[in-house]
Amino acid sequence: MVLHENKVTFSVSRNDLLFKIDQKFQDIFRFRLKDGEEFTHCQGTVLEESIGFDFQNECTPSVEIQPMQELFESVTAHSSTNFSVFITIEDLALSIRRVVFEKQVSELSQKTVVNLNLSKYLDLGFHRGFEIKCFVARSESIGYQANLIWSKSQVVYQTFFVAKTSEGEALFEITWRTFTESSERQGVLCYVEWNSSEVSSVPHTDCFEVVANNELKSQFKRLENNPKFGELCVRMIAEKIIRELTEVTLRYADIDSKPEEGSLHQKIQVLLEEGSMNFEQLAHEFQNGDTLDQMRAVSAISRYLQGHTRIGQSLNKVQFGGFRDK
Amino acid sequence: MGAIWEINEMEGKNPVHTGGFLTGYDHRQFSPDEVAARESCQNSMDAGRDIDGITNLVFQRLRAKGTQKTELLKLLRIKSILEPRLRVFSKEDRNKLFANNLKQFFEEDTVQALLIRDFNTCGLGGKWNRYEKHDHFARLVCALNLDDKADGDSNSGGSFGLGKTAYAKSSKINTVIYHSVFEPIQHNVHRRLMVSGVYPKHKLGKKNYGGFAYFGEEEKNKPNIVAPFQNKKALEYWDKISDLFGVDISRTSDQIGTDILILMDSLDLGDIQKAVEDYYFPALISKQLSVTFINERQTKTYPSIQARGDLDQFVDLYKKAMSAKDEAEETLEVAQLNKRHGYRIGKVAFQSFKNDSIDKSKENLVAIMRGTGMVINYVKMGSDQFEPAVGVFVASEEIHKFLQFAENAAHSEWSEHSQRLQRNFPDTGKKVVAHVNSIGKKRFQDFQKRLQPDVSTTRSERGLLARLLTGALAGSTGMPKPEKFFLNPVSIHLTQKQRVHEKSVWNLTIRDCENTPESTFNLTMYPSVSLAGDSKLVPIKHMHIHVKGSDGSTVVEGTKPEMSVDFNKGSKIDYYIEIPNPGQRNYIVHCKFIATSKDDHGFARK
Repeated sequence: MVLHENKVTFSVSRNDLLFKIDQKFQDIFRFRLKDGEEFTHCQGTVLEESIGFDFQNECTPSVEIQPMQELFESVTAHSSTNFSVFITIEDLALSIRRVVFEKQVSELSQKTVVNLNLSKYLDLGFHRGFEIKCFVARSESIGYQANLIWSKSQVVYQTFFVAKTSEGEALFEITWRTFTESSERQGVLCYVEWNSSEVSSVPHTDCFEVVANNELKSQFKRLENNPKFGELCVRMIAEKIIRELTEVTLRYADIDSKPEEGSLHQKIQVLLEEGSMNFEQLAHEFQNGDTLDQMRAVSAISRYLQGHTRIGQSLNKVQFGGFRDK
Repeated sequence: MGAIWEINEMEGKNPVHTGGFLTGYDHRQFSPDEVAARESCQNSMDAGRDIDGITNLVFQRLRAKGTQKTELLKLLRIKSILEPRLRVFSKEDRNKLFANNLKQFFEEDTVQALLIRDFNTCGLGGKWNRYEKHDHFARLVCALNLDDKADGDSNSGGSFGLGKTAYAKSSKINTVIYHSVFEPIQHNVHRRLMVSGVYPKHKLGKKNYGGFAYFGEEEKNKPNIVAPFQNKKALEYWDKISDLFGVDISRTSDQIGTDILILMDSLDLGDIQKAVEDYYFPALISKQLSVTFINERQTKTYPSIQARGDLDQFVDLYKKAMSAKDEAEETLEVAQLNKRHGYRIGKVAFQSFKNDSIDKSKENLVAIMRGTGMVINYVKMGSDQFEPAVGVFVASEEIHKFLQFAENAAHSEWSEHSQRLQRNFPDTGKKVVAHVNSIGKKRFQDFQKRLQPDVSTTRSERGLLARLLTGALAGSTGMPKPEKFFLNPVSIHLTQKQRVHEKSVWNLTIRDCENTPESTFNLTMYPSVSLAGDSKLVPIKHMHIHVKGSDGSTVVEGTKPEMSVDFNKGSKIDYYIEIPNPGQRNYIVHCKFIATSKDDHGFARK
């Protein structure tokens, strides 16, 4: 059905730029996120990670600058004397920007690599990531002069590289614990450790933590990276943890009041609703139903969570060739 | 006696023709450039084996243009033999490509050639019309399939007598000039030159020709039979060829060695260099062989093994395998293999695959060698099921003789099923070669299985488990962005017409479109031009503008002008927005529209 409006507003917008030089300058700045990687011209978002990613220690960004004096002067028809190349870095969470590099265009006679050591900025955390801007503009040392063609706020050319967190997704922290008991050190892989039964009112991070055996951390990482069976195994472990979280939450949730934002109750409710399951009904069965009701609820949850964690698909992808001679 | 071409006639039983020459060599997976590189290096090294010092090999690109090219054809009298046959070759489908190449050879102004020269070798001495082991000229130029070259010399690279076909097959017209200087033999003969053509068998007139053709000096008392040009005559021909190609490729009488000039070749000098690096790095780093590449600008380059990121691991492993030391580390194994059937087998060196320094295509490959200075091949021994690795196997000298006879003509593998191996070593040959093949594979796969994958050292928890738990506990993700719910009732075009010092002019055109309602509606327009500030081009100040109609008259002016029109199907409006004195600044040109329906029909929604 087509509905109609009686009054609509719309608009059109264009930039009227003095110079259209983007194409000509696109090879001037190249970027790499980590030492040892190749420099690339790709600009914009170069990395997107979940909240909690340690940008400050995981990234060692560098910018490569090509000599540009000749290009600058041929494109703008102006002397490059009063213009410089700037590199700034901005902490996206704090909105604090630092100029990390400034050099006159004429002084950049050969390829220059600028390494940005993020860990030296002790007052910045880069919790939400960072943005590196590389631009050519009037030199800072030049005072305002009428004959200069640009104001300080205008740039000749700019490119930027962004490493940021994706919206609404936080990394899950696993607690890697070194067990004191020998039998635990050898036998335990991971489990849910419950810290509070207030699943509807306290943040989920205060309710529980997933504890894993630190002795097995390297082996567990290898399992995660194993292209054959790793994915299936890890998905099965994940399903077991999520099932326990779901069942415990259903058992202890306060179904008479609205859950607090960020509580385990609220998060599990969203998870179940994605599968068209009714949290309140299931919680009611868990808390007030007879034994068979509870068992049926467990079955339904198990069935849904196996689908959610895609266990069947992972098994289907496993190739079994090459392991028979063991 | 003069210079003539001889071409063989097919007669009697098992008539001789070029079919076997052109198809007898199975080059396996090797490209033509690789075959040319491998055969050239192998022949030169075999020819230099008994000569002191390093064997020098040169690949040189030559080109003859215009009159020089014409003179070259005249000198070699190529038209005399091939022009009458062009029509015959063109008629047969199987020879069409050859005929086209020949036509191109005659018609084009330029001919390119690849010269392969070796120095510090024995040259092509011996009798030219006898085929004993030391009759090098006859064996290379006038014979095929003489498989006794390596008898008694297990270090010889070649052994089938088929590698020479690479030269003729690398020529698009199957024509090669052989020139060689060697230690004087009987009658003080020390230099020879002959042109060899390997052309398709054909019928011309009433005669059937086998296709083997030679250009040389007519033999005394043997009409139509040619011998190679010798000594002074050979020198004159070679110097003339050198002149016609415009480069100095002369060879003095004490520069013993061979020149093989492939006319109209199909090879690439860069690819040959890569192949030399790939397959002859053992000979190069052990200073058995030196190779130079000269392009047509006379620029010299040399193999650069160190610069090859995909080879450095193999080179390092080869050096380790050649040392006496065994090593056993987490990611490296260098070991002498146990004796088998009374013979030492050789040494292996394996290492985990370095992701950053090696081409993925060499993953799980082992470079196999048997003391000829050549990598026989890169054989896939590993399984993709395990951690990737690379390796080197250097065979013990004690088993070289078995491996040599276990090789195919392309020298690409060792097969325990080789008939030559069975024939020469019926007892232990098969067992030893089968063991070499199986032990290499087994040791490599065992090494792979022992390799543990690297563990990521990342500080952030980014593993699959963390991601799955993150996904499950993501919670609600907020409200979606509001969407535009209607379709623009007009089509808008805003394009820049000109920008000069005095003014910048933009054309705003509004037309009807498929969403324009049938009934008239009011369209109010608010054009504006703002000074753009900051690098993000934020509008910071409205500028004074003139809006003109298509007739040039001003419709409105000011910093926030407004225009209102009635619009309906078929309407078209043109305005020109002028920014006076734009100077050296950036602007944002904007126009807001408000469309108001005059009746209840309204505008179309999405």
